Amino acid sequence: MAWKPDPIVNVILCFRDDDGAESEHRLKLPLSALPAAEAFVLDYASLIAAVSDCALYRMRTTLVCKDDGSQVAAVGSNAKRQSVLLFETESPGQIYVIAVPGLIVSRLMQIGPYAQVQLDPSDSAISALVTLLVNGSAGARPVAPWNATDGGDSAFDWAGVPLLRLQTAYWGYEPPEWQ
Amino acid sequence: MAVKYHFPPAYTPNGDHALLCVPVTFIPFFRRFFEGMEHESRWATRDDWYQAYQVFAEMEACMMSGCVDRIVEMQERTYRLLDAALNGTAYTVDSPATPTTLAVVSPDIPAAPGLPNGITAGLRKQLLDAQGIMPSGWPFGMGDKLATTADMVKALKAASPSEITRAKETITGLTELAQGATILGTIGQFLEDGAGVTAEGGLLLTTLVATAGQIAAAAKQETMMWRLIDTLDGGGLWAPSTNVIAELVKANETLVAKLDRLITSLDGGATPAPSGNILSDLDAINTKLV
Repeated sequence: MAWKPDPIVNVILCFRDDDGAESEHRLKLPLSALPAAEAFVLDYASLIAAVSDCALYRMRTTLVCKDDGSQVAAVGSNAKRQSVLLFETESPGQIYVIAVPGLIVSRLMQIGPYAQVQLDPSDSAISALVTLLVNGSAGARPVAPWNATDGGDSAFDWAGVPLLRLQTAYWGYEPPEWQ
Repeated sequence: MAVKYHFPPAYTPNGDHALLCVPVTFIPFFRRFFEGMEHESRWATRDDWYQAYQVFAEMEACMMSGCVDRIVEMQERTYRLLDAALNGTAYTVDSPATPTTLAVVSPDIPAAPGLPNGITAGLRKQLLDAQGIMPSGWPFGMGDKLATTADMVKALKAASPSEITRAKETITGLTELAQGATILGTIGQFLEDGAGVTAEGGLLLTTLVATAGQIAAAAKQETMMWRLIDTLDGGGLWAPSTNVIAELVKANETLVAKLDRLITSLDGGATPAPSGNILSDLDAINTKLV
């Protein structure tokens, strides 16, 4: 398996009209411009109003990495069969869920009351995944997308809460509406 | 446009909950529901989503942290605890629990509880039996009804003034009696008088009267002992120099002194006999006669 970053970064700008209809507009930036992408988008947004009567309500930057084609799905694999990992966060009482597509059935507990449903936390592959999600790697550490105290309605205040430990993990099916 | 939900304003974390039993093998399908409800786009505001996410994620975690089999097993353990404590039933683990099976314990929990060997009634009946009903008229107010701890304490504690007065009179009477049989009879009469009447402090007063009886009897014994002593020492105050033993010692000393004087008169009181004593004089006479 070899991963390569796409040399092009997508900047997606989301517009909404007065009927609630939405549309997206994409800009392309070179990967080398990624550190400056945020500043460019802010400049760009300030000029949009002069050429569009819709509301520019969201912008997102997408970094794409691609497999070189060596990854092959296993026979019988199912993308809708998820490994559902429920994490306690560093904020007591908050739980954050991460679902990984394509659960491998052999990672499930073979004995106990949740046999064939619960993921085996002692499985080396599971524990390695959990360790990475909790501790992070190369300075990046996953978070639950809110803050440590409560919600509030301003997403700008939500700096994120790091994951603390795995609470439980089990087999779940992805709902069809998100497929 | 998809319907947006609002977080229920009446929600309280410790409010009422409904219990739903989910077959373990069906848990993976419930994920479809949970993931849908945890998606931000389902909620009207970001705060609605945040609050709802916590509730649904907690329910999702709860779904993986409980098992009906385990709950039932805990109930059975509670039954065995009560059965062992109340009935003395001994349970044995025939096969310990494993990650895949529950423990096998014998005997089986019966469909209807029974009573252990030798017990013919339940705990309530046994408690009533322990109290017991004594005959009517039994002292200290405990007769003809279930005797309580309060009754016993009442019988033990300080008596009413009238009961104390009667006890004092009895004790005074005891000290004036001369015969042991009469003392016992007086105590018996006190108990008979108290039957069905004396409640408060009854046991205490009975103990006091019995003790007074012992003291009275001891006083009579002391009187008899003094009479015996009087016959030995003349009735004087006890004194080591005037008692019988002392007089015997004194007579012995006098006898020894007299014997010493007799021996001295015979041999001069020394060995060999000095000249000038009776034996030496007799020896001189014998020499002259010869």
